[in-house]
Amino acid sequence: MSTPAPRTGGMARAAAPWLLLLPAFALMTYAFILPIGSFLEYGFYRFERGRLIQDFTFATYRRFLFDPYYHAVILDTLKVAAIVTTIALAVGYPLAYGLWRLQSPALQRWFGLIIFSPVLVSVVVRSYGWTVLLADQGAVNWALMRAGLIGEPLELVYNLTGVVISLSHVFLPFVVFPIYAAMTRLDPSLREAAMDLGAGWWTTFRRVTLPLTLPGIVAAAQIAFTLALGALVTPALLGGGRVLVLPLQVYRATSEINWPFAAVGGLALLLMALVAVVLSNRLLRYAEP
Amino acid sequence: MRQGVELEAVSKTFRGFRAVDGVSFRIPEGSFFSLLGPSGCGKSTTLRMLSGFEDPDSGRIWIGDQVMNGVPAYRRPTNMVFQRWALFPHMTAYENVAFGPSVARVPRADRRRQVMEALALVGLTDFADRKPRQLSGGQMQRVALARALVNKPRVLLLDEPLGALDLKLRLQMQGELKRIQESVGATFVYVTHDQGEALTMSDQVAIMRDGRIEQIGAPHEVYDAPATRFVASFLGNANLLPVTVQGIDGQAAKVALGGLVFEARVGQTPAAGTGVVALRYEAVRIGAAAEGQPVRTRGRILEASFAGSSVHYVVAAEPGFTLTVEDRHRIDEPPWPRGTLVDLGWHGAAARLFPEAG
Ligand SMILES: Nc1ncnc2c1ncn2[C@@H]1O[C@H](COP(=O)(O)OP(=O)(O)O)[C@@H](O)[C@H]1O
Ligand SMILES: [Mg+2]
Repeated sequence: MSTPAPRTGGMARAAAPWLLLLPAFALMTYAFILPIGSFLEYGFYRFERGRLIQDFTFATYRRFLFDPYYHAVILDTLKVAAIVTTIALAVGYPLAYGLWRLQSPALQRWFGLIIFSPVLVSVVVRSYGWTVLLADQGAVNWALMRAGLIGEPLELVYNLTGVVISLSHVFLPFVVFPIYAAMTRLDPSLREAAMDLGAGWWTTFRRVTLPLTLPGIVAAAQIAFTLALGALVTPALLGGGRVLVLPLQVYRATSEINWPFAAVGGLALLLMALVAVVLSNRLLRYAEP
Repeated sequence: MRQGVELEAVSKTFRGFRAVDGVSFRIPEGSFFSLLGPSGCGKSTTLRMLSGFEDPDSGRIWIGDQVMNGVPAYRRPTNMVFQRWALFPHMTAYENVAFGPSVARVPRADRRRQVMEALALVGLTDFADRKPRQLSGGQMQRVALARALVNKPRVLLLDEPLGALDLKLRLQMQGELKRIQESVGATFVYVTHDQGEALTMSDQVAIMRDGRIEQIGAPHEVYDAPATRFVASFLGNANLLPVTVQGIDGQAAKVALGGLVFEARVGQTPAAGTGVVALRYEAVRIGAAAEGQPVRTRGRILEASFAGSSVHYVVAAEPGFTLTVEDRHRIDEPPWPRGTLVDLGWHGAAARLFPEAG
């Protein structure tokens, strides 16, 4: 007795998601897939005496893979990203927790805005701000000396420390909000259930809140890590020439029109980011209830 | 030496709103006590003050001979079965139940035995390794029960634990809850808006309304002798008939309903010369069964609705009022058709007089 659903409507409904995805596909093809194709192509060219030579060779790849200098660069890049991610998480998680536990929604909005504020400031302005704060005569060193914690000013800027501080600062919102979102999705009665079963604050946190917010942590780490991998301006302005991360090398190569090296370096960055994403997605599946 | 659970004039206000207003009651150790009332009347808040999730603004809460005010949830001899069960989604049924014992540092071997015993008590031994999302509502409900009972609480608190189950499962769980309560011997405090649940399982029922307790008693007591008009209309189905009061003598009142004058019990003395008589649908006899009843009249059937085990009639009584009657359905006796003239009768004790308002 049941009549089949009208076909035409069904067809249109099935096509609708694809139609909506079309602009995104077009953009991706034009701005991502095509450039990657030409990247691959340029990577096999040669660069000699300031000139691009269009023949097929693995020379650039070979240099990139076997030259100890580039090993050091890649390792440094990964190290900076890892340290920044760790610090951003270490600062961001308690911040997200505090934001979540705040009783007043008005306060929550204000603190949310403050946490978001680094993103509102241009990277150049922010970097100069940090140079001023972290300089030998800057506010941070002054305060530490006044407190008697150190005798001489610490070298906080124009090195790895300055880069790490500034990057952790600006990635904070990208870390706090995914974690905060995971926390607000928690059923509040779960924490009550844990306490009802005899768990104090710490046990409740360790055995209920933390495991259930792990997906938020993984998402946050993924964002911070991939953003840190690609950071260019901050290492350039605050690294004092001592933080030679891969994006800087790629940037320098492009300004020398060394397209083969820029292409290979760019692909290496992409690969590292992809590995990070795949690994964290693995973790995420593991963390699922 | 105090025993059981006791509340003394306990109040709780949320931003100027009195959710619980001077509630007092005493629950004997090891009994099944229900808080029954419409949604929003303060049942959960009362329960949460017992569990330690809310602290009362005033009044005292005793469990045994100890005052519980200010004692945090994790140090109270209570455990709770939550409204939506609140199982830890990242843990198996076994791990959920083992949570309490492991927090209490019960040695591993004992822990395993206790957890398996608790799972056996609720009939879930075969589902120990399932995560909550792989369990049905009824099974999650049982895990929540086992997770609370494994800690051997002195008082088990249950907040509408059957509310999310379908009717058949709910009826089955009512029986099981009662059986479990008798076998573990703990005091059960059960919150529900479902009178069927409260009346079936409880030793005592407290009926709540707007943050206050209207009446406490055994199920049959509150049902047969409601103390307020609210209780009379909330429990079961009652006709509320406006009457003029002709005289009151102790527990007996002489009331007039249209042209019919009869005797009723006094539930609560009305202030003026008018009041309301509550008369349960099933207390009114109809047809031949009306014969010999102390209060007699006649009426014409306006509506008849058949509900399987019973038939509901709306009857226009001759003295000039309308009455709903519930009659038992007997086999081979079809309901009377509309327009039939029938005899009506009831016992004076079944009619209770209350003030008009309230
Ligand atoms: N944390 C709270 N904040 C504000 N109002 C609340 C809070 N908890 C309960 N209430 C209010 O108190 C009243 C009683 O709530 P509750 O005890 O949950 O009722 P019940 O369980 O009987 O449905 C309701 O009107 C509810 O809105
Ligand atoms: Mg409730």
